[in-house]
Amino acid sequence: MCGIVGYTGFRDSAEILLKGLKCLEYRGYDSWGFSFITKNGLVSIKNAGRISEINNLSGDFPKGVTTGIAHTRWATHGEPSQTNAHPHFDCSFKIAVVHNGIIENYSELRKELEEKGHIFRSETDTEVIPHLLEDFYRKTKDMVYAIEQTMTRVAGTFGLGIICCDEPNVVYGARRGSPLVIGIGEGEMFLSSDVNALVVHTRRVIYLDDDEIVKLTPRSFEISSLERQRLEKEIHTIPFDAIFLKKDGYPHFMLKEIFEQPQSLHNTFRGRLDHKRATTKLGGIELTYSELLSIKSIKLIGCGTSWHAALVGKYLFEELAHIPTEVDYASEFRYRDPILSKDTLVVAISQSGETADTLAAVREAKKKKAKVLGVCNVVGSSIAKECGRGIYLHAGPEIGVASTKAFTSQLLALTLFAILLGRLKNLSRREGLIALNAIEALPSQVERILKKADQIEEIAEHTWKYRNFLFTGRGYQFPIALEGALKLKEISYVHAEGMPAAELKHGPIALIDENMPTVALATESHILDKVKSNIAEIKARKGKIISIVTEANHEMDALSDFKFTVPPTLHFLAPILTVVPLQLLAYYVAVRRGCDVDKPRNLAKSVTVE
Amino acid sequence: MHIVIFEDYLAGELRPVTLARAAFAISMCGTNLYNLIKGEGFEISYIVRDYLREICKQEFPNKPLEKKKDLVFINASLPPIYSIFQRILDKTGKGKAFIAQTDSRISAAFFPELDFDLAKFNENSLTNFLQRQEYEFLEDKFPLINYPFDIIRYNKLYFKENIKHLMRNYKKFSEGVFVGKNVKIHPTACLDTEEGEIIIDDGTYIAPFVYLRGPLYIGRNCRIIERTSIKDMSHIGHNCKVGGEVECTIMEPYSNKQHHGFLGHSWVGSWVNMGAGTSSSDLKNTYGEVTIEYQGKKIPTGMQFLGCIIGDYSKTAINTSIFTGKIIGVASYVYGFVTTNVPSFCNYARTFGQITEHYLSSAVRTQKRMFARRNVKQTRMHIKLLEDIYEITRDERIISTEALSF
Repeated sequence: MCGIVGYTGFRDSAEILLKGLKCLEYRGYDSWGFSFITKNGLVSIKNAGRISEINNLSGDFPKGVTTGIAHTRWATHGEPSQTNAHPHFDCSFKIAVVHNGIIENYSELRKELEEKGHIFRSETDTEVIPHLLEDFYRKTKDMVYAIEQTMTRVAGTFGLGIICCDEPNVVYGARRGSPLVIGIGEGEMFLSSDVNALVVHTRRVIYLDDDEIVKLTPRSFEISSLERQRLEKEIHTIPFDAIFLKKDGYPHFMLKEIFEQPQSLHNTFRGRLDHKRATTKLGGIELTYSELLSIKSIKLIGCGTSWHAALVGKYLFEELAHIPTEVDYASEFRYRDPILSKDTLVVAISQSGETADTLAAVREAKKKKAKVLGVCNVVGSSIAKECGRGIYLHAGPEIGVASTKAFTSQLLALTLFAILLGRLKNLSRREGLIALNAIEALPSQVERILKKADQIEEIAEHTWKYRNFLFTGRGYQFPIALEGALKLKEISYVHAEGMPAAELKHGPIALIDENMPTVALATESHILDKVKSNIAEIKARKGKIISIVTEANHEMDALSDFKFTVPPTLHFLAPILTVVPLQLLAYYVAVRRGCDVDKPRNLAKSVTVE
Repeated sequence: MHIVIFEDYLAGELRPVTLARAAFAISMCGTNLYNLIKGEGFEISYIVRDYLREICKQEFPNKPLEKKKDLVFINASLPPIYSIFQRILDKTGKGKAFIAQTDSRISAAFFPELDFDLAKFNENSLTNFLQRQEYEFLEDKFPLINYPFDIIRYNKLYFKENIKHLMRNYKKFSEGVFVGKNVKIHPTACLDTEEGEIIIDDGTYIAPFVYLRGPLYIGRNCRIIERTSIKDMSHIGHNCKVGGEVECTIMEPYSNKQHHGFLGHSWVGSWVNMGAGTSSSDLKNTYGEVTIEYQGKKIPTGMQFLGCIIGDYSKTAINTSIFTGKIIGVASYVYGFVTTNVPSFCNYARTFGQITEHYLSSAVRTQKRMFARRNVKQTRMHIKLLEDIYEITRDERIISTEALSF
């Protein structure tokens, strides 16, 4: 949930670290901090607040210092404050540490270290690390050894950046469960939680794996395992430009990413449609046709928006591929002793590929011999690597905390996989072709929706003052009702609930009055008549209806106070279209309410803590 | 206004009907889509699958498109029904661009002054191009031929009204009977028009004791053999020879069913020869709904009466019995009982335990012999067509549930 950056080279490290932190702010933004190695020892600057509010380096920042580490925080242990902001230090201020993750056994370690005489200055879990390092380093003066020993003592997840005054041009990194990337420059080296902070400087990167340690000097990098083995790692070239990380004239990243969906969807299916065979090609799934045919059940796991994508996935796999499918919150899955076998395929869905609960669930599934497959956006992410097979979304970097384009790409990626499985089993060639053709039409259809964004803005103008919202849908639209409600909650701080339209009469309809507007997802399907009846029940109780319907279908006209149309498509692709107006509604309501859309309170982009 | 008839990505899936012809050349209700539109005086351009371009040009001129014309796009799988076509034209009256979609397919579209280069598009790319333009969706859902049995369904549904529109192009022979030039009808023939009109086109001969019951269309240069009975919404393409009993059936040009035997609610491609005694069932013993097997799936047709679909160049041996709702591919030879679907290029004698591949070379030789009997010269184009279909249908023979023995 935090972002870390490290640098050693020939340039002024303060500027590079500041720029890097700003790129990582989506990972956490309640406090920030820097440490540099100067001739006079460590110099540190840290504070509560957002790094984006720092426009220029103040006089406190050292000039011309070429090695340092920095951190932007999403608080887990201890309130956001200057004291709790990273970096944290050993007793003698020789070692500085920035940390992304959670140390689960920090209480015991802290007690033990305090008994030994270590003085703690913060309430954080992180602070045990510099003190442990201090103990081990004192004995050998070997920082790699100290890190190894520290790693054997701590339980939990971490991506670490470490500097020590004794080695003025060295930055150390280590990871377990939290992402860490090395950037290789010319005469300079970088360390970061993700590639966003690196791409302006270099496209050559190495992804560290769990229990690996790296020592960076301006001209070298040495990666070793916990067993002191030197490791040769593959150097990846990052394909996208740093320019993508700018807002391009949009007021917020979220809006930019909503408008990028025609392109991101296109990127998700590009090269993956096989018209000749009326199926899809997914190179990364690494399963033979026989293995795919042997799948008897599918478990979809995810958190938050990815869990909603998983719910749509359940409908997809059961309808198109006739494979019984269950959906689990990753956080529940890992602790409930799920029944898995070698014929079970566990599909882990995560935009960042770093979601701690999902990663842990993947490991649990692997332990139980199930096949695992990742659906991730970030190439080389922990989940992608842990699974060893998967489907990349290719949606491009998503910076807005509220997921938009990654969600639609997740839906599409799951659809592509369901078609592949379906065509091996029960889906006819004709049905395959119809699906492929409808997929190809999605970008222009989303563009058609986006051209009418002003209609949603107008609806938001009439509805932003409501304190409660209801979202309803049936079938494939039920998960979209949940997603629409989540979007509104997370960026507008408006209470919203999503539910299947037919469930209203089993209780929640009691909430309906003129102060409770309902967003009704009522696109063309075999159950539209039933949805209509459910909406009529709301209308009869004076609830305002905002309906999302299919173009040229007027069945909902009489029931709707506001109506927004989406182009006709196959019922199982409709969620990709209907969620777009809901994203826009959440956005415009949030803007109208004066909320910080890209950095909603209490949230961070990737949840790398449990 | 210029009409662009386009095959979409599903036109080729209408196997075996569209393996050897463009979808707009499917006959029913007395015409096909191209001829219907041409008959209304419009200039026509079209988009068809690559391998059919050359052969299509022989029969259907493809007019070059002028820049920035008002263009009406008509899906080639639209049934050739005058009232449907007219409904689409009526929608263009407002001058506003529109797209009409049926299920997931564009059935018709209108774009005034569209800058459009026909040569740049094929059956896969056109619909995406149209969807990127500015337009409104029409509420209207125009029917499209999705499955082979839809031909029989729509033929039955629209035959009567379509024939009433087409008969104006012919001269009246007797009450309800309309004929072209040089038609010979033996005086003993019985022409029953109580239920609908009969059209008999140029140069056709109706032999003694033939019974024709309208509505009915018999194309150019056909020979209707003595004692034949052709009834109820049958469409006989040009240069066919017909005998026995035919009901609610479509025969494409140059096919023969000279002898006794019943053919009902069926579609027969071109250059098909049906041996004496060949009969098809069009009703199940249970009187239940006919289900067809299509691309490995059982598809309920919603029809109580449905016969067979026989692909172009196929032949049936004497006394072949084709079970209800069975589909025979292109250039297959069938013998005995046809109780399952038959892939293209097969010798099908399942009753005798034999299903083997019908070699392409043999199909080409047969094509030449059959053409010669009708004074048609076999050209490279005709051979290439068979070769292309042979390749396209290779999968059918692999995924056939029957093992092929060689």
